[in-house]
Amino acid sequence: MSTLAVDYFDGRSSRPQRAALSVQDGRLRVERADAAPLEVPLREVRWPERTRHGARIAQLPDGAAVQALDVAGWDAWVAANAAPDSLVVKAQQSWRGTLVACAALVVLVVAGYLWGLPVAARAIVAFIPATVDALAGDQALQTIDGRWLKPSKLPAADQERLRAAFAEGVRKTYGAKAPPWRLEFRSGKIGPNAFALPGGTMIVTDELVAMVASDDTVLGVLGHEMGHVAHRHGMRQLVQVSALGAVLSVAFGDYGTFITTVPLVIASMGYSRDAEREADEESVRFMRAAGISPLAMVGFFEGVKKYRKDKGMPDGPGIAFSSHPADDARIEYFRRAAGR
Amino acid sequence: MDAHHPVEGARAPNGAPSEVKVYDIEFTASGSEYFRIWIVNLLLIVLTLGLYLPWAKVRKLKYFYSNTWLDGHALDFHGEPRKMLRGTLLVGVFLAVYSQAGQVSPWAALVAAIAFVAVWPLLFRASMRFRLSNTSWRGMRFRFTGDAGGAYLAMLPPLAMFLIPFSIIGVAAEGMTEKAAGDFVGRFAALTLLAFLVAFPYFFWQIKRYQHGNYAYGQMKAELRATIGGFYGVFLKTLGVALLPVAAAGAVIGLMVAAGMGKGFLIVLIIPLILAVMLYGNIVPKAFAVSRLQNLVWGRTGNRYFKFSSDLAFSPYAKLQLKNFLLIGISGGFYWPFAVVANRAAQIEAVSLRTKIELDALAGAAQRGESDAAGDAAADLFGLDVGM
Repeated sequence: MSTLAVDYFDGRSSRPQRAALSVQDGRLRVERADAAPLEVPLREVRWPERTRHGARIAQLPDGAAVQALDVAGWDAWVAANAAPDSLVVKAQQSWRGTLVACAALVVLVVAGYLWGLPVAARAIVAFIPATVDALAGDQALQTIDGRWLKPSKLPAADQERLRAAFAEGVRKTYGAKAPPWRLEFRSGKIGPNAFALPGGTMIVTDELVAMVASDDTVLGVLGHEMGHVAHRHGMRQLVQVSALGAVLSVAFGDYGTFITTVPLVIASMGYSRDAEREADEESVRFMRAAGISPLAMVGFFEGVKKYRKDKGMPDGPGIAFSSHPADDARIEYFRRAAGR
Repeated sequence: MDAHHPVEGARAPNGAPSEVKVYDIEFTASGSEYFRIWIVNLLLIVLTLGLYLPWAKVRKLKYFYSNTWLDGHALDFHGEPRKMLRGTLLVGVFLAVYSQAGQVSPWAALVAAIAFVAVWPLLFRASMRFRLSNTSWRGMRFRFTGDAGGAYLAMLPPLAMFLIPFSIIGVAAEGMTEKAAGDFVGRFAALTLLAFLVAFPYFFWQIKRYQHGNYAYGQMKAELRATIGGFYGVFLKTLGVALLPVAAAGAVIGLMVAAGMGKGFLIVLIIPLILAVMLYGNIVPKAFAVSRLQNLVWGRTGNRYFKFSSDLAFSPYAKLQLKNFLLIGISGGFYWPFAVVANRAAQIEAVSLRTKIELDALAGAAQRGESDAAGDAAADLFGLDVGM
């Protein structure tokens, strides 16, 4: 029967006592120099995990503890007499196990990003009642209205014409399954622009209507925004970004927040580009149902290009940091949809 | 001094020798080993959709503790993952509700802010109690002696000042016209923020006094003897360190314009200049504040029998942060565990303990771990730690 020399602590004072450990019939025996021997059931001892660096301290059930004097001797003794390494420890202590874990992690993270999280977000959003979307959308519109937007100067007749044509297109595209929507015109500091808020409110600026100068193009853009509404992209993005943030803070938790910001932005921009592509598909579906050629959307991108050039605006940031796919790819998509 | 009676076999501090002994605190963890622990933990967390979190956390804490040495013996952690899982879930739900309340309405946001302010000091105290009473050295648990009243005194003013005004703004601005609301919100927010910034070092001092003044081990109870002036000094200097490069960059550009340099040249120069200022701004002021605050707070923690001291030098610490930052970026995040270990090593090894009593002579009532694991989870989620 082999014994192991350790420092014993009684849990009530900081004075170490030399002791010897031995195991008999599933019980751990602690022989102390100046006190009666102690016996505890082996499975009530909390053994430390084997690591390359660091102390070995085993916690005994009554608040006492023993610490190794010689770590290598401890590891050999514990493995032979008390507690073999767990699977986790074996993986951690071999570079091969670490590499396998590393590869599995990369595969899981990539799969989770590409499929897992989007599917989960869709499922979660299905559980969120539509009234939450509407509340969030109203809240956002109030904020934006106060700061960025002014009432539209577009003649009421033009507004009505566009609204009626859009309603007709929605009816033809979505039929009875059309989600609730509301079309609002505004002008303001954001230039030619259109966007959809959660809950189905879509905003088009006078500047966009003037820039494209074609009802078909405005309707194509609205079809795109309706795609965001139908897929509840706003809520899905909220769920996805929250989940990504949580994952990143778990992985890189205790070393400042700045380091997690960049991957979070890049990853959520990736989701945003996916949503734009999905909305472009919806736009094509809408235009086909409404009898508009998808080429109408090409006019929109050309208009934006010209507008940027006239205003001397620089091109956007690199694609990884962009919320939208490259214009050229999107033009190509609409051309193809038009059969040219 | 705490009210615990000396236990048989231990010498009372009064009878202890009066010569001063100095012990350096040593940290022996290795980056490559923590990398292996981290990656396996992460895999298990992902596979279990997060449920493994407390087990991973305990493993990490035990690794860091078992590599933190004082006079030949290491720290140990006693928290039980199963109990901590409950706490994590509880606090996760609380946080999720809190963070989504603002999406619903300004009133909901205000109610959530008040609830948060009311609960946070209790969670803070619970987290300190949990962490300390589950940390041991030489088999004996540390204690946190702060009470709930003290937590509210230290934390209610800053929390209320920071969180509630913004929610009130949201509610008050609801009925106003756009322009009036804009003006009102702008002024009110600026004023609140300014007042908060001016008072921040005072608040921070109060919180640290509550924290460090309630650490206990055996019959020893610590005090924080730092004065408020020290805190204002560090914050003012940090402000200076943060603003220095902006002023310098402005001066460089100003000089170049004055020297009649071409517009093209300026545009070429401006992007590297902005990058440099961003890099500096993200690393240097924080490194300055962290190192100076650690020295201030730990250097003034002790009582008549023992005293810590800390000499974390700013310049090497800032260089370490820069190196960590760049290597994490270059490695796509894989350097992160190495960075954490290097950072901890720098912080912990800067600390030493001067004591007039024998470290063997400490004794206290047997302490069991607090079962209040919700506090520990809260501390983690809010990014709060014992400060070392």
